Amino acid sequence: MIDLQHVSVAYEDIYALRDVCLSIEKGEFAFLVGASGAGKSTLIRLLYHGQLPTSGKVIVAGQRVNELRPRDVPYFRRKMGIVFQDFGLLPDKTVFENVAFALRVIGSSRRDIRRQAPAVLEMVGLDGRCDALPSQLSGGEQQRVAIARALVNNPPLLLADEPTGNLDPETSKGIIDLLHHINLRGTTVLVATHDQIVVDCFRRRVIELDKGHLVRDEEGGAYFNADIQPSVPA
Amino acid sequence: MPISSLAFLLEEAAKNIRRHSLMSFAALGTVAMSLAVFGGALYGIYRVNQIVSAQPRQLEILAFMRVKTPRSETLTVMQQIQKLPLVKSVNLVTREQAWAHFVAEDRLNKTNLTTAFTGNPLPDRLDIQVKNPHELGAVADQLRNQTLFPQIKSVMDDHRLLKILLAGVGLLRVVGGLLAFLLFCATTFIIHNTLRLTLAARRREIRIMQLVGATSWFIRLPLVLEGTFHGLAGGVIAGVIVLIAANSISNLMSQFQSKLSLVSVSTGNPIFIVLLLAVVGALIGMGASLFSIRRFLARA
Repeated sequence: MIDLQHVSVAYEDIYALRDVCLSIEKGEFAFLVGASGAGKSTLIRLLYHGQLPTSGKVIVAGQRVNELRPRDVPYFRRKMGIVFQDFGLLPDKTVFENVAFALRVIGSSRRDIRRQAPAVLEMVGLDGRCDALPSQLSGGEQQRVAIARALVNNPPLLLADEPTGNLDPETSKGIIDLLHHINLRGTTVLVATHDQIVVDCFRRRVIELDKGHLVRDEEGGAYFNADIQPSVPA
Repeated sequence: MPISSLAFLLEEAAKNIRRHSLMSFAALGTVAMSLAVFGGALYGIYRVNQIVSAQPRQLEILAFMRVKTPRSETLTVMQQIQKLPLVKSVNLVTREQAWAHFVAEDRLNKTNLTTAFTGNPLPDRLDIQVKNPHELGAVADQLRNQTLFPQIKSVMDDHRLLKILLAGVGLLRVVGGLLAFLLFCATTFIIHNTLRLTLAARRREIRIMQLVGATSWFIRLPLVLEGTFHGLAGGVIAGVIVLIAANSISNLMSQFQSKLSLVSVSTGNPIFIVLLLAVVGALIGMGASLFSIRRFLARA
């Protein structure tokens, strides 16, 4: 599903990612961990063509991301759902409208929207809050709406960049639980996080970045690896 | 594009106009005011041009015969002038007609000037129109030649005024054209800036649209529709403002029409002005929004 071959990203002479090789198979669940500035968000941006690599190959869902033509990018992005720390909801649209928006902008019919949006809202446990505005929801509920919107057109890949960054530990667990549940339905899930509690709690594949280098790729790992001294800013 | 998508885009454009009503009102007001100034300047130039272009046809040479010249000689002179190659037409105003007109005016204005005269002191007069207004001076100089026309006592012509008018028209065309162009650029710039504010206010929405896989045209179209709507509506409002202003000025001018007989004061075709400004507004709105969105998306 995801294949990075010797990928580097440099901003002038500063490297955000350096010679990263990584492969994530279809149906996998992985945490991408590392301190702030380690390169997690840069790696996520590479995967949805939010950024291009300076060198190396990025292949997602069988497509070479760095060779996409601008007009093909929207169709490529329909193959994935993206969730952010700030939820990214439209404040003047209701929960239902926010979820339906993702379908409407890709040209889905009203019938499909009426069928798919309630189903995905039910899956994330928000079927009773369809008419609520984002401002009337808690942080956890807002993130669930964002996940519902990311999943509404059944993408094979879900990318989440710090999805629990704005949430308390209990709610964070609930969100990761939901992502885990989504993964069990066959969706490949990659979660960039620096939330030690959720990573340690779920014990899934952990990919660790440090100053742009891939320093660990461990199945069933914890947030910190005893063998590696984590770099903590002074 | 499926009909459901088109309906969605129109719906979104209408919702956005309603939801961002303050911004829409600001955009609409700005466009209307800019286009009213632009349209007003354009219309003003058009009207002055029209008035000035009409003047040469109204300007003529007045040749006054000597008082005691017999009518037969006047008619001979008239025929001689008629034969001049630069002359278009000659009209005789007899001393009797001139006196009758003078008496009528005197009565109307209650000036009692006619009582000072025992008889008719006025001469026969020849009103001469030339083929080309630029030749007015040359023809007048020919008529002043006493060797050729000893029966003519004096010649009145407006060629100096005409020269000033023609020079004024030329200047007006250049300055007016430049002014209209500058106002056109200013209007486009104002719309572009207003749209930049609108786009900045909707940065989040556009980012989400991009992330969920909306094509660039799907993102652009509601914004272009909005820009076009603002331009169109602003143009219509500006057209109405210009019309009202033009009518008021025309009404004011018509009060002086009898005294200023050189100035004609029709308003032209009102629908044409509204249509022109609406089309110009819509085109500017569409063009400026396409340009702004293109730049915005390129940076996003």
